[in-house]
Amino acid sequence: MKKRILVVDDELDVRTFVSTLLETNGYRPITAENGVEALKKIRENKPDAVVMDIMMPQESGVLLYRDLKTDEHLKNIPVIVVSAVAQKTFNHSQKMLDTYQGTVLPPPDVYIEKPVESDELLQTLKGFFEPKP
Amino acid sequence: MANELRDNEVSEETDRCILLIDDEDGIRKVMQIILADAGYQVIEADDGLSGLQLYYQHIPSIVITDIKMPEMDGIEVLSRIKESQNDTEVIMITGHGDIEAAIRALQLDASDFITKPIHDEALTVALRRAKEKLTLKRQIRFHTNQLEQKIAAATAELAKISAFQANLIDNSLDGIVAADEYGRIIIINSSAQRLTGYCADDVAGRLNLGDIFPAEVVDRWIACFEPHEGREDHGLAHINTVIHSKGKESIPVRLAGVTLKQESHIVGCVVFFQDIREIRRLEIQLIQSERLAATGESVAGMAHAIKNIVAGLKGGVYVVDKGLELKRNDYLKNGWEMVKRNIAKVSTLTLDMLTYCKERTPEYSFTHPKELALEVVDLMKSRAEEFDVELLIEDNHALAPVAMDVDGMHQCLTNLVNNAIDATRPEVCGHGDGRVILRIGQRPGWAVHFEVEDNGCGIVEADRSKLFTTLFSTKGAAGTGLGLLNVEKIVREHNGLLEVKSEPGHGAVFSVCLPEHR
Repeated sequence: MKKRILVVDDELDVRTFVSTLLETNGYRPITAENGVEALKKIRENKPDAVVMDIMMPQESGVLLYRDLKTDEHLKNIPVIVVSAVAQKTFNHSQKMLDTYQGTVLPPPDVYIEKPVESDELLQTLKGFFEPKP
Repeated sequence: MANELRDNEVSEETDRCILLIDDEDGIRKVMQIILADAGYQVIEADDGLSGLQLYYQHIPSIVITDIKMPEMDGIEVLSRIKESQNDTEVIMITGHGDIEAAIRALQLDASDFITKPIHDEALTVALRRAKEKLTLKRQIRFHTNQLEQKIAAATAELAKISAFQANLIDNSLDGIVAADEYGRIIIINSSAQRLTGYCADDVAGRLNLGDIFPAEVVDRWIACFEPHEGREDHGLAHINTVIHSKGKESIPVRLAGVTLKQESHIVGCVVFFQDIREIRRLEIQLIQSERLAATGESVAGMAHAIKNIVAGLKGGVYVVDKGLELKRNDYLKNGWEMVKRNIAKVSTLTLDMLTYCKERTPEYSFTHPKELALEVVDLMKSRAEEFDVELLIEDNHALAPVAMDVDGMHQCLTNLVNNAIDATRPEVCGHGDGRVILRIGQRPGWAVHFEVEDNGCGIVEADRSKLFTTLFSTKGAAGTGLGLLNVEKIVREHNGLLEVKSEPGHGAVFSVCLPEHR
């Protein structure tokens, strides 16, 4: 059974490239254009991992990440953030929201700054699904 | 105060002491009794010479001496005592009819005369006068001393202030030249000497304002010298002009001057001036460094935009490769679309860069504003439909043709409408009633007033100031910031007016006004 990976990015170029990359390497990509659509598709499809952008119109990646990590059924899905936003900035905004909402969310499993290199993304996904020694 | 005290101590002791010089024992005895009665301590001498010796030992305030004495007479004693410059009053004892000696004694500043035989009252009066004279002299000297001290202090203070002011004038970085009411230069400071080549010795009343400053400036000065009824005009403020150096070189300067008044009389004038060449050099340096900074910023902005496009192209190439490799038509189609989209982005970017870099004057032709607006809307219609945005034209004036560079204005309005559509897309502004209006109107003083109004996300104030000055974009990878820079450039080339009004969340209005073509 192929692993299902949800790819959310508002840029068509990124969605096309990442989904082709995943499909030709033995995964089943599912795409979404924004955070709202992504959350709906994650609930419907229960993907094995999420590859997400941060800067998106409507619901941003910052909020989507919080929705995932605070949902009992979704919080164990590995998340790879692929963004032009620096990791420090992302962590900072999460920490602020943690303070505000009284939560303590774990950091993303992997954070890749754009532009994404195909090898890096594939190696990362492989690491998630290989049986741990 | 200390001086005054010491003077009193000295005088009290010496005032009680009287030196009595007479060769006649009888007279000395009589007077000794009278004086001792009056409370004086009397020192006696029986001839002039020993009297003088005693005088130098005790320096008494009052000396009473007989005139006629052997060896050294009273006149000689008087003259020696006066030579000593002490405060001593000398009372002369004289016989009847000794007029000649009396006159001589008076000339030598004797205090008084008493005649033989000695009368008690005459002696008392003479003593009182002598004491009054002493007191008066001491007071005068005391006040004189005080005055002298005050004058010395004031003079020193004045000298200090004057030296400070001279220093100030001389060390000023501005050239300073001062002239008297006839226009003769009397002060020329170091900076002015350095600039003009004249030295202080050249000046000294031999140089006139006209030798350095141009005639028109001097004439205006002289006009200031004339009394004006109710005019508070005292000089010239910040004129750019050219002055003449000693070597007849022309030096561009910026100068200011004031006339100097003393109780409403004009007594001269002062001119302050700076070498503009130095100021210009600094200005050019500043502009160059600003230009370098702006260039750095632009290059970084461009690099970012190009990097995004390259990433898109690489992705497209990857997808096409997979399509060829796996014979997948859908990959080929998707990848090819990616490549085409990014090539389109490169050409737009290149066109924007060219527009921005090219120095050009608008090629004017008379165009109906409505026609231009229709063309722009026609071009942008499909894009507006793609994002569910309504695009309208409003034209209530049916304006006559206006002179403009059609290509430039087309690019300008297209850019603004394109931005408006981006700001009004449902996923950006949060509502689905996006509407963009391209309005053609009038505004007093302008030939035409275009407005691009949207009901999109608006622009926060912090961003508004950056719109037309830097490569600024809120569209992430989709924008470069060049579009609005070009809008500004095109409007500027038309001598037009560009304005933006916006409130975050309540849309934005961009205004472009074009002037009547001369």
